[in-house]
Amino acid sequence: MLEIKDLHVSYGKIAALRGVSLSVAEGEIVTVVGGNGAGKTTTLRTISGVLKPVSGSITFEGESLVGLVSEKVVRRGISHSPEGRLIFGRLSIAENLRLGAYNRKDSAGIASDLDRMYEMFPVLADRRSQRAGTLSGGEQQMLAIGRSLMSNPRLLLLDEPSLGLAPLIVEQIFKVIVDLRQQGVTILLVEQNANEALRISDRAYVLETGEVAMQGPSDQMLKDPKLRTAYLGVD
Amino acid sequence: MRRAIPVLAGLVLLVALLALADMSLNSYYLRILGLMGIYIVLTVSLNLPNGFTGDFSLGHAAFMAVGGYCAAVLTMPLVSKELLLTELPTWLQETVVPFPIATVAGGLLAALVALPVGLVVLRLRGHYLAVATIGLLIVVQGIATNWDSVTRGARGLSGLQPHTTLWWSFGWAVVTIFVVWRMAYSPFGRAMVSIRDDPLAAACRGVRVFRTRLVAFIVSAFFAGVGGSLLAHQITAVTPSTYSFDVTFLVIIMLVVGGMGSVTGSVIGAVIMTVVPVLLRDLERELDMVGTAQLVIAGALIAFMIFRRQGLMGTREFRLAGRFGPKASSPSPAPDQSQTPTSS
Amino acid sequence: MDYVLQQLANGLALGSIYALLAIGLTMVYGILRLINFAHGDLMMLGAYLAAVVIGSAYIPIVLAVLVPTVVIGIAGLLVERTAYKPLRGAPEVAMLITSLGVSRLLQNSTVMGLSPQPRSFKLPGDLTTSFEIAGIRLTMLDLLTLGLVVVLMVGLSVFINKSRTGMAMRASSENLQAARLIGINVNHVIGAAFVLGSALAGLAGFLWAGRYGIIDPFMGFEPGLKAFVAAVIGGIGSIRGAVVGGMILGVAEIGFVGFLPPEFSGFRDAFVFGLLLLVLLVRPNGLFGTSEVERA
Ligand SMILES: Nc1ncnc2c1ncn2[C@@H]1O[C@H](COP(=O)(O)OP(=O)(O)O)[C@@H](O)[C@H]1O
Ligand SMILES: [Mg+2]
Repeated sequence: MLEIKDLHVSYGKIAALRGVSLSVAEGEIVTVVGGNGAGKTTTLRTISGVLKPVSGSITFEGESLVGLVSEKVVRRGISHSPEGRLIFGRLSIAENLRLGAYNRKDSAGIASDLDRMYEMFPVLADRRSQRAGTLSGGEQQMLAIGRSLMSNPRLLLLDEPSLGLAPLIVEQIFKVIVDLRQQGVTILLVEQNANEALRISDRAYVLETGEVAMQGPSDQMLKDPKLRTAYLGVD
Repeated sequence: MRRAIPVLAGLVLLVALLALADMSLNSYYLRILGLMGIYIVLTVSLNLPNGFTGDFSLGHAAFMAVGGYCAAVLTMPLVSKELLLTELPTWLQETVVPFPIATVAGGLLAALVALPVGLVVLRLRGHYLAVATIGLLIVVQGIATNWDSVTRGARGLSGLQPHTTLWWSFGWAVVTIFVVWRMAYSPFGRAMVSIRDDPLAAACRGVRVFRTRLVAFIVSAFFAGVGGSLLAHQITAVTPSTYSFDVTFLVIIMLVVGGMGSVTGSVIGAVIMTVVPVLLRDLERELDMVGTAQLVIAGALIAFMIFRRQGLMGTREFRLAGRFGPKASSPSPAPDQSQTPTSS
Repeated sequence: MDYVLQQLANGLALGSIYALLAIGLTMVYGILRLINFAHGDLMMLGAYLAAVVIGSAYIPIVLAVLVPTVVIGIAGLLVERTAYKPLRGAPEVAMLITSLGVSRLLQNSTVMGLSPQPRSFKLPGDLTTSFEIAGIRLTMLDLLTLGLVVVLMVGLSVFINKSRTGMAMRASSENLQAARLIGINVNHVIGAAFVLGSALAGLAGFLWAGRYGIIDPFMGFEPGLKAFVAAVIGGIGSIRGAVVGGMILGVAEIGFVGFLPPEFSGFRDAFVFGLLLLVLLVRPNGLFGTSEVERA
């Protein structure tokens, strides 16, 4: 479904990605793990058209995404729930969700998807006309995911959805991710919380200073002694 | 010691050139050349806040006005004073101060004004600081226009002596370059640049952010005051419009063309943008279309921002030969190399 | 008492014009973090256009209002697309300098195309008629000004709060990157903000010229700055704030001139910027402020 080949991305003179290749097949959950500054966020931002690659290719369902602005990428069926959530705190929860569907014209579909979001995240339903800034961290993360889903994506990019959340909430978020896959959304998940992420994903990549250091099925990665010491904090 | 040799050679060359110009040029060209020296003083000094600490001030002309009026009142011949400034306190009424001292006094008064002003406006950054400093200029203009007993309002002070020779304007230019260079390429300079690039990080590393910005602002104001005095004694009169926003704008253009954050860039920008408007004004007369010169300059500024934002020099310095030029710690890259390449 | 009320009315009439200008500034600043120094110059162009329309023949007043509004709205979009759009993602200072350049460009095009000399601006007769209500003397122009501001305010607030573009505008003003990321075409949103804001500036040009009866190529710069002060007083980014800030500034300025001895009237501009500094230091987010003022 998504195919990235030999991707190079720089910020000015600083190279952030140095030849990253990865792929995501339809229906998969693929995890990207790696330490701070490894280039995980950069990878997602390049897919969604925020950054332009120096070289390399990104194809989605056979068509190149390189050079497309974010708006076009969203129209192709990819949605990006960014690191730090970036919800619009001064807008209401309902408005945040509706903005997720900004490029859709089917008002009936939008309405039913809105209901679906409120079903999936009941906390949001109760407070739909409140300012999103009043939500707690976990609720904001749910709103961010909901907002991404409102564009009706086939591929969802999730950047550290568990960042800074209490374990109980993290549990909930990961459950949502698994549910989403069940509903047919393919997921590319970036996480520092590698342990949890590997448990729910099919395959995984390890990024190190802008390069893929390791890749394979998640269950094997979970057992890999090198990985365990480096990223899972167990020995 | 070895570093001083090329600098001395440069100074000797400058003196020779100025002496030659002084002998051979007519008064029109001498005036333009003198103006060039004054603009070097103004641009190099404005670079301190605008280019080095990243406090984009638009109030340079305000400090010029303070220095210019102050020096003008001090040097004005007694006869003129009796005629024009009848309401001055007697001690001022009866004194005439030599030009160099009056110029320094003008600079000091500007610096003195910059202290409380800086304490207030430097609590702001970015656009807010820019507007607040324009506000300062408007306040100063208001005072100059309305404080009749000292400034004679819109009529201004005329009958000053043409003290500003080539030697004075370039002498002060050399002093300004020397002082700003010494500040820029020293631990103080590194502090300034680190504030420009990331004030928070600078503070974390122990840089005294506010104090550094304030010092840069005050030193800049001092030289603006000096420049104001030089300008006053070149045109031999001061009115509020001598120090209007137009002057600030021109100096900003010089700064941008040269490259904010480069001392030699400021010099180059000042030289170019002293000459170009003169040529354009000739063109304007030829075409008989008022406004052409300003229009072209404004258009060029926009084009510069779009196509060569870092100016001619960026934050680099011009050196004759790396080895001989004054050694400078290389400053960090310009803040304006867009850190987030965004597609839009 | 009558005198006080009269001054209040005058202040509100002036404040309405500041409000119209401040709306455009605050919308654009909210999204792009750009103080458009050329905003006041667009107002100046609006005044010249109005002069042309009024001078050309007998023309209904509606056109004198509409033509500057529409044409300057489009002009604002042109300025955005040619001068500001190439600078997306550039540092603030680059945009600030560019907008100074644009301001100068507009002023000097007018100087070149027409003349640097001020010219008088004659309102159609019906607008200059004045009458008294409860001891306050008002002209038709004052009434028109106040009426337009009220109507436009209501319309604008419906647009911002209810429409899709309005919602996108608020989102962009809160976080441009995030808005772009979720698929909002921010260039459309920015374009809309420029069209709307500039249209109001064009209208303000007509009202300003009508009020003072004289226009010149440099007339716009200071009102533009003062409108920014108004926007800051109200809280930058807030449209309601821009309106209230404009009114407060208008009333304060007229009050300053009207109630202090005449020696002080030369300092009215100084007073306005003193007010700015005070607000920035005491309440940097203004009355309805939502976005943070950059402070050191
Ligand atoms: N806006 C930016 N400007 C300059 N460098 C950046 C920027 N964002 C990230 N980087 C650099 O790019 C590298 C990769 O960062 P990032 O993709 O954010 O890593 P991760 O998400 O894995 O923590 C890091 O070295 C980081 O310092
Ligand atoms: Mg990251």
